[in-house]
Amino acid sequence: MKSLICQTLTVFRKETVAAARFKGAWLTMLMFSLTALSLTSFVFKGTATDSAILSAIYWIIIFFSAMTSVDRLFMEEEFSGTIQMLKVYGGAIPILFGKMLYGFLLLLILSIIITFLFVLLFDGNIPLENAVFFFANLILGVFGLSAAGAFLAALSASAKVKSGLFAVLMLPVMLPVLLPVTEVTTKIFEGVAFGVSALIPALLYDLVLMLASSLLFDYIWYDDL
Amino acid sequence: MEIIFENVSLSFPDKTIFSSLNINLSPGKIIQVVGENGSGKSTFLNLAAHLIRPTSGKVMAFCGKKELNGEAYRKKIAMLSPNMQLYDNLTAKENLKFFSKLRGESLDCNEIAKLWERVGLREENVRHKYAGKLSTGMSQRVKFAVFLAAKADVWILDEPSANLDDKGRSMIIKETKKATQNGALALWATNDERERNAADEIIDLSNIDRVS
Repeated sequence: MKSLICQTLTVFRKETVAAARFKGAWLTMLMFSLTALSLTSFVFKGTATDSAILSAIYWIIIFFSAMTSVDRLFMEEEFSGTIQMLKVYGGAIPILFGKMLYGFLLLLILSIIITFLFVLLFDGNIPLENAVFFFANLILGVFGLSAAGAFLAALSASAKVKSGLFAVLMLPVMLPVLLPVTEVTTKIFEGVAFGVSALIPALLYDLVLMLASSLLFDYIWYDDL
Repeated sequence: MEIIFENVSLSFPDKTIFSSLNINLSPGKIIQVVGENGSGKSTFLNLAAHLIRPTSGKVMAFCGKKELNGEAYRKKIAMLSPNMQLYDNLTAKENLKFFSKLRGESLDCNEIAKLWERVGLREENVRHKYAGKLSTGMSQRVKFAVFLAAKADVWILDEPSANLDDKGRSMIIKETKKATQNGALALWATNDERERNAADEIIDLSNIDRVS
């Protein structure tokens, strides 16, 4: 367990150092989200609009921001030839978890920036009294998106036919987490009272995803099993 | 470590690479894998490394009488191949430390300095240099340092002297001989005549038969 954590953190640190030096991936995410936010703000002109629409816009921006970066997590390793080094010298699970952790923290930071800009641009339209629920829901949703994205990216990189596989699998895999988190966000925007139980579907999705990844990733990563 | 190929066949939709291959690879030897381009040298090494699975048959790895599979086996191997690249945006030292840590080896400064010395690199030339800025020969030496740091029992080398000068070629032969004298099994794919002299056995994939 100790070595799994240590190796996971080693992969996470490598990803962070590489991202700090090659800014392309996270700058693309940031620019995409800023463009989408500006556009929606101009279209709605800051006027009050339906909570469900606001919630959908919010999660669409986070979803597509995630998609601009998570597919690179393994594809770049495949194209640059480092994937075989990882396969020989690393274990499957720490590599997946390290990349998931990096993808999660990157997307979480971006989502927090998006949230503050969203509140600022739609000032007065979003009651955020229930901040703890909002951020708990955000963390669960962002974790689900980044973890599922990393898993699908690994699957696509290992597949013999890569073209379009990530995009095709994305919808059925990510919809189960996007639907509950969008629903909770809508309720928060509406100011409707709800219990912790509303967060359970996203939490379950994240737990099942982690469990499935731990059990299946060895079979995806290595051809000999 | 002993590796046994038992009735191994490997075919792709358009080509059969191996058909009913039976080979025993014993420890303490340098085994050269030779054959013309496309004869399956790299594929043979990938099978031995358990990186690909045969269409039929088995590639078994034994440590004494115990068969090793999955992670337990992978921890025993190190591989050097033209398909394996360093991270361009990490320095040579960062690459070395990263791959060693993945193996569970935490290298201190002295160990790193010794590894640079073993592979014929000057520390001041590589310490802060990004791997993407290294010459192909220096990059190959850094990859070999990563290889040595793994302290593996099975050495899998695919054209290890590619891009290396004569000193580099001698260094790899010397290190491989030293490792096999200590009981390691070295599998070495090459077509270089000069490297054949270092071999204890030769597997010629052009006619599949094993020639001593």
